[in-house]
Amino acid sequence: MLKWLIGSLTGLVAVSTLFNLEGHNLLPARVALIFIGSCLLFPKLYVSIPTWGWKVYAFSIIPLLAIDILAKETATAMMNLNTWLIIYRSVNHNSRREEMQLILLCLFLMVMVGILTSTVVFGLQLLIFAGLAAAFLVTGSILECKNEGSSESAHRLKDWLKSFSWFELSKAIRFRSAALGACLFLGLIGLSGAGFLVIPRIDIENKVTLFEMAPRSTQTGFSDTISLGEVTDIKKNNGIALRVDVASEGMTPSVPYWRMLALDEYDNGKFSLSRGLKDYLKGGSAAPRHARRYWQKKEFSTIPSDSAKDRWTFFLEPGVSRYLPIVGGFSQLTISELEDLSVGPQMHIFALKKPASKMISYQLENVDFQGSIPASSFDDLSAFFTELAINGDASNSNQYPNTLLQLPEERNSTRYLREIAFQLIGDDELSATEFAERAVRHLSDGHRYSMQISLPKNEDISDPVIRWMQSDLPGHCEFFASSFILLARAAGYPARAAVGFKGGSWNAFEQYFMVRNADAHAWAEIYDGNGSWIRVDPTPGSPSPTTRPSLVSIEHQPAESGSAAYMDSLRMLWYRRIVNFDEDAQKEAAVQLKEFITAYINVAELWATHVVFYLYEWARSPWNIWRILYMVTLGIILISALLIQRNLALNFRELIVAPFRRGDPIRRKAGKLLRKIETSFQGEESEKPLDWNEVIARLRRLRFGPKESWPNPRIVFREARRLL
Amino acid sequence: MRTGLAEDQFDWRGPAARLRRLSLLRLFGELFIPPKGHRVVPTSSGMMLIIIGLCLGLAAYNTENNILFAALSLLLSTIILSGIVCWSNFQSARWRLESSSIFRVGETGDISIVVENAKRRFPMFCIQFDIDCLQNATERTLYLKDGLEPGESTRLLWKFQPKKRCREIIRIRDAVSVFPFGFLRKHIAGECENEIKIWPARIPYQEFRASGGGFSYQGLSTKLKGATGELVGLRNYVKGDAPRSIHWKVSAKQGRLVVKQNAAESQSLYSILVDTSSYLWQNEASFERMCSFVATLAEDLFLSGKLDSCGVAGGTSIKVNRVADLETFFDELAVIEPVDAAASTSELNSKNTIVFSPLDGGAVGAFINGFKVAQA
Repeated sequence: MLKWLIGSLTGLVAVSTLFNLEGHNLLPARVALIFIGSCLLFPKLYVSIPTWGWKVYAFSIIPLLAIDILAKETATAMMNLNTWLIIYRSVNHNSRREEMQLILLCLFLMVMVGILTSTVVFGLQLLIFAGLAAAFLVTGSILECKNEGSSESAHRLKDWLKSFSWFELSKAIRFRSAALGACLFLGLIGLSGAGFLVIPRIDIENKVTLFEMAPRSTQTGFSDTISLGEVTDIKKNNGIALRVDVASEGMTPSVPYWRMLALDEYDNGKFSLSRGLKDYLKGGSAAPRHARRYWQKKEFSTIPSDSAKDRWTFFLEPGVSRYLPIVGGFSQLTISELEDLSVGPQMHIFALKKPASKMISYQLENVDFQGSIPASSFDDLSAFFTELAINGDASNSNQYPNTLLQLPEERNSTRYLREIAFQLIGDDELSATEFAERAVRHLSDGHRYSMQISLPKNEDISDPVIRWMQSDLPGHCEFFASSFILLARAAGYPARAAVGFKGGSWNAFEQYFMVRNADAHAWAEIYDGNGSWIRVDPTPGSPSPTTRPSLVSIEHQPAESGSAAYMDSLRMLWYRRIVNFDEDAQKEAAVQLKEFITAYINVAELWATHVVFYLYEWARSPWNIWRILYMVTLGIILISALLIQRNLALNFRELIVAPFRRGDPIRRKAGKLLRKIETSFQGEESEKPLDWNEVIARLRRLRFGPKESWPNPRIVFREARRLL
Repeated sequence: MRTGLAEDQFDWRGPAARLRRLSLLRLFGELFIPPKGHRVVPTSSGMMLIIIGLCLGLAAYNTENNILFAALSLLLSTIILSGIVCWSNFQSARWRLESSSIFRVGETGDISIVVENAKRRFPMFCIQFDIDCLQNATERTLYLKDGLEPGESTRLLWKFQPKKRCREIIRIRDAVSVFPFGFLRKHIAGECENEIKIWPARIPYQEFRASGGGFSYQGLSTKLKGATGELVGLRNYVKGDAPRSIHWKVSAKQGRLVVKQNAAESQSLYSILVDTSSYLWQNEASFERMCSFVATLAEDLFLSGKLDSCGVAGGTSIKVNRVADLETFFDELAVIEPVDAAASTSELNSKNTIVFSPLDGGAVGAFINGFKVAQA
């Protein structure tokens, strides 16, 4: 009965892993969970199902499978088939063969889910599954031996289940068996962990993708078309979107900007990637292998370089965006999904072909934290804009790079923007940074920050950004950024919108950045005419535009150390140590182990030296009568305590371990002494003391005799020790 | 590691039967280089697991997916732990083989394995013993059904019913364990064997009461009170025995009438001589029948106090005074085979000597001085 329960529970845990896949149809998983759960709680339910009911069920799996196959979703079809089979097998397992079928079905399902997801909950489920599967197999082995090699127990199982009671079952479980089971489980986990660390890893170039799920829908605020308010909507979600493992030594920006995407085209309050750039990203030219053409010093690889030590590792949660957040410039981007990566040099964006259905991790090497991003040599913007200024206005063209100067189509709006821009510049010749400072100041003077806004109607102007600029209403980051971009463009400075995250909190437990969806942010980038795009964040309270933002050392990052941060650190631990464990991490682990052992030896050596010196100094210090008396008294007390506890029937050690041993402790001790005495006087008849036989007889009485006839154990043990 | 008080009187076998405890290094070495007779074989589920492990490994290396590596390490650790636990489960096991003193064809005898857990702290689980009897071509597996607590021992019993008269070797071929996961089957040579002699079966026979022949009327008890003399034994009741000579207590126990046999009874004593000449016993079935007939007759004559001696022609005659003498004769019967020349004429013609010859139809006759006294 216990085996049946463990088997069903194993099936239940395996099925529950499906809930980690958010894009997966969870109907089979829910059915399985409800049915197996009900059978576990009320085993009589299982007994009441007739045999023909199971036959009908077995046949009904075929059309269910056919539906999935017709939908051409191989991974889904396999997982659903597996789930239907687990439902049947997790309650119908009566022989060794069927037990193995159940274990294999569960293992297969868990492996599939494990490939498609990488959540820490799955890790926990894998751990529970391992324990249950081990318990299931052990009980199977024991029962097989009990049934003289036969593992069939179907005929008896139903009888047992009819009279099932959780209380009776719990009474049958012994502490000793449970403790041994726990030891076995810990041993299994320990060995498995060691195996995981030791199995040699080889970084290979061409990896195979076993299963793929349909991509998850992502946040609309981080797509290639963003309407006003969409980024602000993301801020309402406080879930973690990104975790960043920074280089162990060095500085980090005091307010990091995790830039995901830059948008050039503007249309009535909506920023988007212009068609040409979109097409470019979809085409083969966006493959990372072409990146060398426009970035001589940037590498894209699946394997980290040997030289760089300054590495930042990003863990992007599924469902955030297909655009990868980056913190600034870098020398190498390492990502295992290199084939799926598209590089947009114009906007300095790095996108996956499809949104990831599981956590994506990638690494940047030699990150620089400048407040500007160098324009790539893909298009000579300086020449283009110079020529544009000479030949005429093309600000309303929808072709990149004209889109970088694009203004609203409404004449009123354009006129308004140019007026403001003229006011800001006056007769001065301003650099991009100087203009940015003035424009930001202008916007800050007229508006406050607020996430709630309702724009007034204006029949002359439909553009929401212009309407907001004309008002004195508060606004969110998108209004500030859009307004700045339009002002800059109106003043002749190419500008683009950037979205991503700003800031984040520092996790003190595992030392990494936690970036939440609530940190979503929009800002602007302005072209300085010298090949750089300078970050400008016009939202009030943001740092002023500069190419050299302030840096702060890791130790001085304001840390978060609450229970939520601790729970999140466990997730990070899972990502770092399990999901992202690779050849480098393996080498690092080996080095750490060596360092740990060396450090341990050093500490032990230091301690031993210290103790020896202390004793030496103690012995050398002057002895007077009081000190001698004190030491003698202390010695007498210690020896007396030792003798007293030795002469007790059971000493402290025996009393402590007694609950873990079977049988009466006095009998055990008598048996132990008997063995010792008989071993020590084996074959030496002449050397036996006179009362040898008497002591042996008393010990045997204590060992085997009824308790009523026992002599005083304390005296007998003392005599026995004397003989030894 | 070792327990028990007077343990040396038994011939223990198994890993815990070593006289000296092995060093840790040696024990560790045994994990990698198993001692002679030890072997580990994967079970069918173990083989499946190994194949799945290979597939997982292949997938893990080609995808660099750490979940697959985790699953792979879990499978590998299951197999490794299976081996270690199974090995340590055996380390404290010792066993010995015991068997009944008497085995007779068609009758049940006890063969038992005494298993002891010589561990101090941990129980022992799931060990099975494969026993075989070579001559009878019978084998059996005995299972240690319940966990054996530290220091405890148990007896695994096999009710063995021999089919063939012979000198039999009972052997523990292997001690096997699939504990804990059932993926690996560890075999340790049983190292125990007992030699037993299986006596011929007891068969029905027909007794003839011919005048001047037969032995039923020989030696009657007297009905005269005080004329019986010393009590020398017990025998079956025959018609004409005095009711006062019936030993009621023994009769009640045995379920048949048994009378006291007294020294004063006048009776003739018989000798049994088995001629194993091959020219007589060309039919193997007749020979086996003869052996069974001899054993049955000898037993009956002994019980009725009419057996003087027994012997196989060409061998030593055994004077039958005690049960042990009869058993010695039965031991001889267990192993006799037809030989080319066995009995001399003088032996066969001795007075009151019962000899045996094949009869038509596979029957066997018992003759005294040429008179047929019984037939089986």
